[in-house]
Amino acid sequence: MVEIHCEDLWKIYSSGTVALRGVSFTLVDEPLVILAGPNGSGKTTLVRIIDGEISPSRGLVLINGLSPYVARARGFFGVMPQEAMLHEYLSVREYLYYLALIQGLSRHEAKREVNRIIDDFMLQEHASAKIEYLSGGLKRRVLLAQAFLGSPRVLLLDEPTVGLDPEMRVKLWDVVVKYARERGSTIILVTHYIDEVKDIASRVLLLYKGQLVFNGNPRELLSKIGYKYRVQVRLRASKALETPPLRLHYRSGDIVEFYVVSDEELIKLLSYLASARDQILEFSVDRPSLEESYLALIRLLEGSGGGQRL
Amino acid sequence: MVSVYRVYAISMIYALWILRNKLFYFYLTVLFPLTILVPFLIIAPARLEPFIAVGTVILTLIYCFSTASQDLALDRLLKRIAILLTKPITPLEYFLGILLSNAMQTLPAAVIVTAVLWAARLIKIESVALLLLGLVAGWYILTTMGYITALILLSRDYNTVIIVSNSTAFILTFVAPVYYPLELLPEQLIILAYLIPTTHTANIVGKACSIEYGVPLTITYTYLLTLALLLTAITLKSLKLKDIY
Repeated sequence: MVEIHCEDLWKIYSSGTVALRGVSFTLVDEPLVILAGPNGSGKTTLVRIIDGEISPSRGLVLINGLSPYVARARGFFGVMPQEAMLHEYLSVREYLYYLALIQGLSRHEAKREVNRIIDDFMLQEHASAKIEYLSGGLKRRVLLAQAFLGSPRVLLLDEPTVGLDPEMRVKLWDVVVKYARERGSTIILVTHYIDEVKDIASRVLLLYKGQLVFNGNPRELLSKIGYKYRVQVRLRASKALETPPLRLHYRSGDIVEFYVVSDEELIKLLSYLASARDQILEFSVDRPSLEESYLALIRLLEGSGGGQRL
Repeated sequence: MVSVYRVYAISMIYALWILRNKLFYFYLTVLFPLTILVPFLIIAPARLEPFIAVGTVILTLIYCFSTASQDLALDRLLKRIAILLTKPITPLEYFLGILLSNAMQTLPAAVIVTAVLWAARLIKIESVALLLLGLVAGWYILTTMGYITALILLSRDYNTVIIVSNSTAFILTFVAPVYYPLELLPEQLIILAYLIPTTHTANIVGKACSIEYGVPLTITYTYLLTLALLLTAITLKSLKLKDIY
């Protein structure tokens, strides 16, 4: 079991910047948690407080009842920092091997663990290469891989797939999912690619200007956007839709969009579109993405001055 | 509880940089000390030649000070320390790792220079134990000083650490009576010289080479022991690893 308890966390840096404002939440056996928010919302600060790198100005963090410092000393964490460089004069294998020893593994265990990690993260071809000769994407992969050494119970991954090509991102998400399922760890993932992990995330934490403004599962976040389907219609030139059954939400040139809140409304709209087919060139129906929900929430918060809990 | 594996791993992460750069390592351990030793021996009066030889041994140890402070500063600048800080390392393990790394990087240089001293018949085989004591004391104290200097200055930028580190290295090398006997210093500086650890390290190494620096050995032993205990206490109690960030 992994329980992460954060209570009334505040972080005020010596510069006077208030990074966190009373953040509270409890995660119990959550396999994969998305931590999202605009730049400067406090995500990295929260991650660094959870793993004990920095102390909060006020508030309490407990990992299975232990302070972050004690939890770290017991090897609870695997962390991929947002910004970090590797010791580039070492080979990939050497670097991972020494970090595995530091994580608390014996020499024999460390060798076995490094082989596993190299396989999992598809680094076999580059295992003997010095890190300095790797591409940026490969270095990023090594940085991510090192967090998984020693099967830590809490993984804190800060923007792990930034700079990776889409194919590699998909492959790495697979590794992360496999790990979360097999090891029973809690992975807290700071990412802007929230749609890529929406199906595997069990919880979403949304920070805005240092405050936790949303704490729920992805489905709840989707429901916040206020519609179930989006129907996009491309009109024939110089045509206009007459008396549509729903309020038109958006129009740009020959494209109109409808935001549909229920299945019944969708059926009604589709019937209408069928009857108005001479005015329509094409149309598409899609569901709102998690990212759109997130952006809609941010827009709502910015409109309200921010800070309210959703 | 200190994990030997962790200490070893930390030391290797830091030491492999120089051990891999064989040409640079050769320069550092052989050429650099000789580039100081040879010209000084040529221009110095005959009676100072033994001091210059001992001074060069001490100079190789001062590299421990510079390495310890600059490694940490560079790690912070490049954000390499960020990974290590997330691992279960205690401040003591990290410190011991840096200490061992410095031994790997520096002691071979001291051994090579010592071999040169032996070849030049400046040192006798029966004095090797005393020489080793001087080398180990110098290595430990100078590394710890470098470590503490870096930790104190890390809130400032990398350039500040380098300036302070190099200035301190200059004081340790040339203000202290390392390349010359104590008596050559102006009277006002003699008290200051007694406070500089390299004065006492040179005194021990000098004694091993039958060279008289003019500092009583009891003062040297008392000073070095006190300083080592003080620096160790500061390192272990006052400083948290996360201060490096």
